[in-house]
Amino acid sequence: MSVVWTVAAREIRARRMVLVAALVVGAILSLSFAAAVRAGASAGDQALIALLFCTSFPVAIALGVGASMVSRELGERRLGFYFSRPIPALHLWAGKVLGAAAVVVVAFACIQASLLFSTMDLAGYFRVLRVAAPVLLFVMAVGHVVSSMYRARSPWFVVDIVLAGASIAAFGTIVRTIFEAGAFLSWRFGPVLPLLLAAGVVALLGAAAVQLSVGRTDARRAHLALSATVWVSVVVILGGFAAWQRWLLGGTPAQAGGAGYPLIVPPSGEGIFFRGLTERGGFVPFYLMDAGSGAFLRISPESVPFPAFSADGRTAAWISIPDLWEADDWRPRLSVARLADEVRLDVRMRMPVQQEARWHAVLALHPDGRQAVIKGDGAVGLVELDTARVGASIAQPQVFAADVLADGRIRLFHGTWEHAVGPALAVTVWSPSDGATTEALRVPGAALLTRRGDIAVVAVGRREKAILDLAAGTEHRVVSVDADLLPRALVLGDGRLALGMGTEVRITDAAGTTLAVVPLPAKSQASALREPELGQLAVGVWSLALSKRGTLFVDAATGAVLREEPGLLPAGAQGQGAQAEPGSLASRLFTNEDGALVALEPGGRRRVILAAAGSGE
Amino acid sequence: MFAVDPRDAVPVWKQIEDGIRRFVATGALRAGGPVPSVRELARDLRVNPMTVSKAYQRLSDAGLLEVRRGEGTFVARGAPQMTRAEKARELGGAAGRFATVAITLGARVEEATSAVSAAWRSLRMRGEGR
Amino acid sequence: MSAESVLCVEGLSIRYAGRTVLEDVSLDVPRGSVFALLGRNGMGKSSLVRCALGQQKPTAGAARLFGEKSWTSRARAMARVGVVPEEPDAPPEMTADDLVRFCRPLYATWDDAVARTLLDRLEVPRRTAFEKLSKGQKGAVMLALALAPVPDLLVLDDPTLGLDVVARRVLYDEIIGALADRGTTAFVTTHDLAGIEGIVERVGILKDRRLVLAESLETLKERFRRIRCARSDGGAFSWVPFEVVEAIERDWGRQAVVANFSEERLAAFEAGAAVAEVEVGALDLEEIFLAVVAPAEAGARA
Repeated sequence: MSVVWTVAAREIRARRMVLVAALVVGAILSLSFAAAVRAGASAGDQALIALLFCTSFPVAIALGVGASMVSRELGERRLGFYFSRPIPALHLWAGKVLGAAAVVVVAFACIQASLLFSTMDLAGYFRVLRVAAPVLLFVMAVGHVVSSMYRARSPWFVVDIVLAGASIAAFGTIVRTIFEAGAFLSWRFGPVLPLLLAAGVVALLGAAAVQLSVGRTDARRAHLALSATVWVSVVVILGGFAAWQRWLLGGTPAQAGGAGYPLIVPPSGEGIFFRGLTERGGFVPFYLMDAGSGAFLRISPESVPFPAFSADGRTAAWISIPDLWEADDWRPRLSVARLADEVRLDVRMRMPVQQEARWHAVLALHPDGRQAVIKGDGAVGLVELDTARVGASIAQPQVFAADVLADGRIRLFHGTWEHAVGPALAVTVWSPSDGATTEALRVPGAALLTRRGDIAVVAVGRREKAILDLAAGTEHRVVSVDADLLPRALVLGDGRLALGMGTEVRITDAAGTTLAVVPLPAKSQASALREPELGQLAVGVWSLALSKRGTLFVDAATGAVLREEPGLLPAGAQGQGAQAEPGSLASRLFTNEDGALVALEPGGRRRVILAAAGSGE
Repeated sequence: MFAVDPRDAVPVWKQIEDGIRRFVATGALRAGGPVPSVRELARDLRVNPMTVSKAYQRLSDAGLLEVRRGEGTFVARGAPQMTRAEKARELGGAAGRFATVAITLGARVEEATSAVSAAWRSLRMRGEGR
Repeated sequence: MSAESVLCVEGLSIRYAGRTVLEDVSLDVPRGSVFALLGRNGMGKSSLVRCALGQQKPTAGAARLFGEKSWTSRARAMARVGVVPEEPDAPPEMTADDLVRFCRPLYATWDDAVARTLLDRLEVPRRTAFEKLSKGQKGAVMLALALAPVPDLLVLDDPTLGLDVVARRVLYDEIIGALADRGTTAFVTTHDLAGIEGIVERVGILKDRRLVLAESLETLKERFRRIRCARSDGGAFSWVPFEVVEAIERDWGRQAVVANFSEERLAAFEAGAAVAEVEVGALDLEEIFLAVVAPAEAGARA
């Protein structure tokens, strides 16, 4: 064992000058950092240059030390000195690696210590050392491998270069796939990256051991042994990485563990857009799924799109910001997914939208299936789904919802600000053919709760709701005694309304006259209102007491409670689309006690759409 | 001392043996006195010690040298302790070699005999000169 | 391979990328003997040495040290072997003292006095970096590092290369000393045939990638002779029954180096047709070597 230390000591002594240089550089950098700190922000450039040194110098040292660790002596035929003595090849390898690693790490510590003078952060210093040391060892190992392969002067070097290129390309492809799927964070912060680095260091240094054991003084044979070991290891490591990537991105909606936030469902049809609950390697993607056929599309969480659905739920469109590698073209990207053949999603992804304004969301899809209403910074426009070309557009700030009317005009819901009144909700109708806009009505201090056809319900303060007829331009107010924690409203199939007012649910006519009242348990409120079948109202009850949470099924005509299902809650539907049609999937989606997403079928049967986490589906 | 001629047809150990014999005969190596150790002679002559060993072994067998434990190798004190038969054989062999040379030179017996006498006298003289 | 074999190679062949360096070489070095491997430059001597020491794997055949395969038992065997390589290969920044300090703990039988004496005799500065020493001083250091472990086997690859006369003398002194004191076995490759001649017991000669000779120097010298005879008129001439290695014909007569000399054959030759004034001369090692590897003229075999 002492052989190892003897060899290591020799390696270190042979590189005394490197350590001295590192000390000197560290000292110079300390002075420059101290000066930068004194000068304050204006010395940013100086600090930047010094920081560059702190990274490039240690890397250069690592490369140089690695290149001279074995390959120089091998090339100059001076390894015979060791092999003519009773030194086992593995001891020689261990001593050389230890010595070289010590020089690399200590040199880095010296240079990095220069930063200590400005940051005074000892814990941070050691943290940087801990993180950077494996990286520098990897660089050192790479320096050794490249130098050995180059110095061998063998025609096989060409093969090495080709394989290196292929490996880098393969690695890049795997990483790019992870990036494109939006799983960058799980790769970057999970255990996989350090594992890959460690595996790389082990593989390359292990290859050096094989090189010394098998090649000994013969440079050609050593090169072959090194290359064989390196490339086999690389294949294994890349294989493992690829397998992990496939697992990471291999999640299906069935494994999503239920629907998290957001969950967006079209007014009719079987489409669902949601983010799962369970993570896979830290990755939780979005899914666009057809609940009937099970066809699905995985969408990167980095895109943060809130899609708009067509009325029949068979088409979805969304806009996302360009990825970093699309940065040469900063235009937003339009993606369109259509359900074709009942099983297949036909997807057009990431078409660049022409940039007049900064478009950032799709609000609604035109019934003709060829256009969509999009909103940007202070503007609204119509975009062609096939080409992503923007047709008509107008300036209209603060638009948060839109509906396409039967005659092709667009009804825009937007906020305005009135002097001396404050914020108000306004409804404007835009005619794209001639560009004309007409304001239908405006309600100060209002928040849109729901809309179906020409009827909309807004909340004005905590105790008041207004029923709006958007065609006629009228409004009727309904007031409650108790304050709403969660203002809720539903337009029923027969034109009547269900309104959550404080501790009760009121069923009113279009003018706001109360027709029936559904009392709620004490200390609870209506969290959601749905019409799972025509004439039946489902009231999601939210209560501080967990045991009291559930859904009341009420006769919409009389307000009589038909049945109670504890633990079952209407599945939240975010997004600013129009209200779900009675009896549609959106109206029948609930989460059960386990957290699974279920659809209530006629007859009371529950169809599991998304199984809960932990239940073997 | 003497030198060893690699070009000589005579093997090196034989040259050494003959050389020691000559030195003893001239008295350069006194009877009872030390001879160079195997190591020393090997280094001087730049030959393998085994070769010197072989020569010394033969001389020792012939009774010319004797090895004294712990002290080294010495010239034997008295005349070589040989049986009459061994002595006769040695003498006969040497004579035969000399005779071969003389005959191939075309010398007559008288010339050969006088050469022997002259050499005898010269060796003895060199020895008494000490 | 005898039971006392210290170094042996069996059927050794070395080929590099289409080029054959050595083909089917077998030799054996028994304990206590001195074996000299001779051959012109580029004949693969150093490659053979590397294979024998387990530093290189031969393309075919095996090399053994102390009875065990060199390739697998190298580290263990090196504890008993002192190697002087053809090119001095110590780490350039280490001084002679550093090198002694480095090597000392590697051997159980290290003798510091040996190293010290030798370095003093050859006046090698102890605290100068190896790369700054003269060629001779480097050789001296390598020799000191090879002898100090008091090895059972000395492997010297062209040890006199670059040494001046004095250093060469010291080298041979040390080798002879080791032979005398400890019965060290020695395996030497060299071009200094005159210098090694007295010391070597067995000789191997490499020619055209093969070992054309491996025998004791004594037998070699017994059977190689140069024979000169005058021209005779008339009658067919033949060197029979001699095996001629090289033969020349001049105005003054004929001369040949023969490989199977004996008194009987000489008598038969003289009795044969028309030869006169036959002169027989012995050859030293260098002359034998030259005759074997570079005969003066394509021998006129009669």
